[in-house]
Amino acid sequence: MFELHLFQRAFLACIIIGFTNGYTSGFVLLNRSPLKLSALSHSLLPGIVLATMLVGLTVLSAFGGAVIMAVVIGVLSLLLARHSKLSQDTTLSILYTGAFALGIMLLNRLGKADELEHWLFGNILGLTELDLWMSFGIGLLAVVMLTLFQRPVLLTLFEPNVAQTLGVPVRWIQYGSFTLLILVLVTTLQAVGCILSIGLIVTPGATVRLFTNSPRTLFLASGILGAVGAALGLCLAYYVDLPAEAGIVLTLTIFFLFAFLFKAIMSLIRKNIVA
Amino acid sequence: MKTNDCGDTHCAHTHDLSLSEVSANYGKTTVLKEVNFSISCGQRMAIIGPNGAGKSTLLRLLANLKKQATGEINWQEKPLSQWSHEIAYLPQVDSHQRDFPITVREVVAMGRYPQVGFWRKFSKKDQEKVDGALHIMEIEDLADRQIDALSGGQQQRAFIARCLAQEAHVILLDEPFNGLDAESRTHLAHTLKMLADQGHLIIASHHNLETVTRLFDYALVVDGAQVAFGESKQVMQMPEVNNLFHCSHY
Repeated sequence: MFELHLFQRAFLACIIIGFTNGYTSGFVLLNRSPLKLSALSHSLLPGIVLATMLVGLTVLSAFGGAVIMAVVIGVLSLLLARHSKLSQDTTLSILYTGAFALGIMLLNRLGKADELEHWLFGNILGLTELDLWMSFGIGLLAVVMLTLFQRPVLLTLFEPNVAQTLGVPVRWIQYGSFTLLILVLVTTLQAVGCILSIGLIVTPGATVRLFTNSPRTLFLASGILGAVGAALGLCLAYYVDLPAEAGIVLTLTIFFLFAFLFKAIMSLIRKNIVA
Repeated sequence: MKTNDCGDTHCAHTHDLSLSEVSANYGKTTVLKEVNFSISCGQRMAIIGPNGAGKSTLLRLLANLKKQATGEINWQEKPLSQWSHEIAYLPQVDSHQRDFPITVREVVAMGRYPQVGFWRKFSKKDQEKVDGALHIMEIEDLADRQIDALSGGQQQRAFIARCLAQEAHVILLDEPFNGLDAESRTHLAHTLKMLADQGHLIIASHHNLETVTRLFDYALVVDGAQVAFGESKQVMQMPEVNNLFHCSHY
């Protein structure tokens, strides 16, 4: 299977996107934002469709449209929450469902309803070389930024008010990390679609968190687990002739369930030894 | 002014925190106005008042988390905003994110961030400051424990240790006695007294009127505006203060 050019590219994409998502999942977990991300991933659809309507469907236009729409929805939800009595969860829920509905409506109007499946469930075997480079660039940016700014990011996540009094530019950190998450999400969307993308950006971190209390280990180990899980998922899906995107997310879910069981059994054994 | 061992020459008689005609708004609503007081290092001051009177807002102004709408807040006769490293802020004990993977030592080390910045490694001096703060607060044996594995009182000591590691002269505490058991309350009271004796200025919002005179040297009473300020024993005898608390839903 490694002789196949398409498969080679998909395998490389799995390593890059899996590591980026895994590394970022450490942040997502500490930020307690998996549900927000789930909402955001759905809001990318109308951006892609609008970009297609304006400049035609190219990789760059889809990417640009998704980024712009995600930033608009994300920032707008923050602003609405800051200037009302509503929480950001509420404003985001309203905006992302509205945006998703708008996306479906626009796809139908364009006569491209058949492409909906690609955006919902991804198409990792259909990634182009440009897609791969963009994933690599964004992945590198995300990993470097989250590593360089780990100290202020962690302080902001732990206690934002105290972080501000200690000189951390909390607003910039919050908006910056939010933008970074959106960028990562867009590359993931191309690979596994908006519905499955959350599995890739949450599960590795959740799995590693069961075993570590160190944020540094959490970030790095989640990255490695994300890359290994995605690559393994792709190979397994190839062998059993199932959709690659589902195979990737399912593999990561199985990793999590095994880790959870292992942890539970180990604590049972430890308790019995102590008793 | 009491004898101090803040570690430098900051704490002198001129080392005052002074507020002059300070007011604060949320949007177009004024929530606090006409705040005027001046206080030196080595004192413990309580901010008291009914719910929604502006206690937390005043603390946020002092912590540089909010800008005053009018007036001046000076520390050593210069705007307080220029002295952010001198001010340590402790929100209510449950305000940090739960289940965050962080040890007590790492929490205390956060106090050194203004000195070490985002990237620089901790120097020997920074490590010594962290160790010293853990020692003063008697939590060395808890240093490697996760912060959320501790009781409320122990967490409070860790957060105060962070202020000490920061080398802050002014320590602001939002309702520090809330949610603590009797033993932790006693320990915290001793700690605040010790810090004041060392020359720190302690300012805390507080809601238990019965303990104000015992725990604090000075009291500032607010109710949307300053009602009274002075030595706590005198303030608690003032008719306007008694009227305020008897007439409000305190």
